[in-house]
Amino acid sequence: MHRLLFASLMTLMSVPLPAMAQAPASAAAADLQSAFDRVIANPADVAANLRYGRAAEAAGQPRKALAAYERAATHAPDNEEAQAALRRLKLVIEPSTTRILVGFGMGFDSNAEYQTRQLNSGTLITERLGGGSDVNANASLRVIDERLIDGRRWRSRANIFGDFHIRGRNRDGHYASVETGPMFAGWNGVMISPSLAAEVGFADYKHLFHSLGLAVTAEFPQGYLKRLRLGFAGTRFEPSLAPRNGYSFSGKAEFGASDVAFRGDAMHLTPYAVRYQGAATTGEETYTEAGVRLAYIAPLGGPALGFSGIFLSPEFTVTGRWYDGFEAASTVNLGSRQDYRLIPGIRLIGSEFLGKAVTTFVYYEFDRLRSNYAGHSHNNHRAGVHVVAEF
Amino acid sequence: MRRSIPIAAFAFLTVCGTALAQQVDVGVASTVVNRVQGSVGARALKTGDRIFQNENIETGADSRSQLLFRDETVLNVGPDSRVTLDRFVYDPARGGSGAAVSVGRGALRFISGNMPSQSYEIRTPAGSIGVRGTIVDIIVYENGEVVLQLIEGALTFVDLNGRTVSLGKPGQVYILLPGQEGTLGNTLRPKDRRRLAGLNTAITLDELFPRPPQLPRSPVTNRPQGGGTTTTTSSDPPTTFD
Repeated sequence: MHRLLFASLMTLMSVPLPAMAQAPASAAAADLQSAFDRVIANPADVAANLRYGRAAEAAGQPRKALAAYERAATHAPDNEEAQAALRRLKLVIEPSTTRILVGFGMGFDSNAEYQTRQLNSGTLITERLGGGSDVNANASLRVIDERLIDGRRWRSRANIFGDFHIRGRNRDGHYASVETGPMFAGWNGVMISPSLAAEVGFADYKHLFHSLGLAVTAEFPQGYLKRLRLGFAGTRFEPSLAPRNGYSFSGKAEFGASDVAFRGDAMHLTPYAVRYQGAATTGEETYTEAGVRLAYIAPLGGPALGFSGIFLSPEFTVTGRWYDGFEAASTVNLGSRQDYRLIPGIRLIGSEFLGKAVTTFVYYEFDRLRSNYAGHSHNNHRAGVHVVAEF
Repeated sequence: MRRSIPIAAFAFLTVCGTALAQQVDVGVASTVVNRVQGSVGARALKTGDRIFQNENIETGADSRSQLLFRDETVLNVGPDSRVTLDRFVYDPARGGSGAAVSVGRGALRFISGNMPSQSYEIRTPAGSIGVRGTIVDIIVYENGEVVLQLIEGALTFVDLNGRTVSLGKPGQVYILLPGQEGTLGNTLRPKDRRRLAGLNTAITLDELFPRPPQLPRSPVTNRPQGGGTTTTTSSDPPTTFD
């Protein structure tokens, strides 16, 4: 009797188990179908699209979810859930990309070393705001790579560039940097990317400095704020400049807007701030710098001259640097050193030369620095041409 | 004369309505951004409009649309594109489902739905694509050049000469120039990236035109020069990382 009762109990228990296992799957499928029916009846219904997206993800069908969140984000660009889900799925689904940008250029500086020429006449110091001119050739290589590593999207960037001067070989500079880090989908579609970075600079073919740093970058899919970046870096200079060794904190924001004055134009505003803390307690090694760059890009027309489009970009940069405890023996210095810099400029841009991904820049800028310390102001007219090809 | 105008309008609407009613409804224009034209009834599509078998869908510059089909297949159609919804039969109860879409020009993303994988065919001027649980990006240039990028799943491309190429690894790219054999690679060309960028989001001008790099300056100081004392102010910080 006991055996029969046990067998009956086991039979009763075993029958529902497969049905119970199938129930969630069939429930998910039914939920997905129900959500789809609502979407196809009214595809602009944001709530229905979100429900369909969630159901598709639960059913293990991210490609349907991606399309649903794209619909929701198109119909309600400010919808936080749609933006966040879209970013999260794109980080996983979108394929690897590698952009290679190679640049070559020629440049002219009217005051290649930012010199101030001081003419001593008794106690009176007269400044001429310029030194010798020079012409340089420059080259650059940038690699920007995004790929999935172990299910996590990873972004890496590398830069190499250098210039070569005709008159002063000692002015030649070379620089390389690498940066890498994972990418995370954050709140409201904001993409967060912590990264590790290293850079090295050379001057006159000798090591000048190297740095190691950490940064966190946030990229915003909606609104005028496009990017926010906070960084920390430690820097060591070559031995004769050891007092300059130190560390820096930096912050930078990028705002952008399109179709500002008319269709096809764009405006970019980039404020930044840096605090550099040098090892030395006095001198020009410790300072705070802040500035902003404003650029407007307007389409002039095209195709013309082999380019698919011609753009004009007036720019304006203003910066200030405030030194801590700067010392210089001169009768005309006025308290703590403060430098202010204005750099108006203009770029003429030709895109897609002969149908290739070749962009040409012709630029001019006037770099004007004024310091309350004698011997530190300068003027420099900078002009040149730069060609960037993407592979 | 005044009486004839409403009569003509009524007749026109009746004809259009009848024409729409006779068409096979295959899905819906689930998003429409700017100017998107449907050939049935020669109408400007709006979000929520039905789309029909054999209908041509054309997008204008700076325009895009997402088409959602009854089997949950999705077509994202980018700017300056033309697709034809050749055939769509979805009857999961009886079987015999099938879908065929022709891409005349432009960029689109195809996301397969609930039909069996062999039921889908995407036709291009250079050949046809069969998919298996797939997201694929497709570009057809004006000169007949065709570019495929597999995003998810797998696909088979059969060109006009009957040659077959299979793509099974996400990210794989197949480029077919007119009159040439296709090439298989792992990355899109810049012009392809720009063409596909219009599918979902507008690329910013600043991304298209990266600024030339700024070189660090040598911190040389107090270099005497011709008759006076010369001082440089260059001491740019090594804090770029950007």
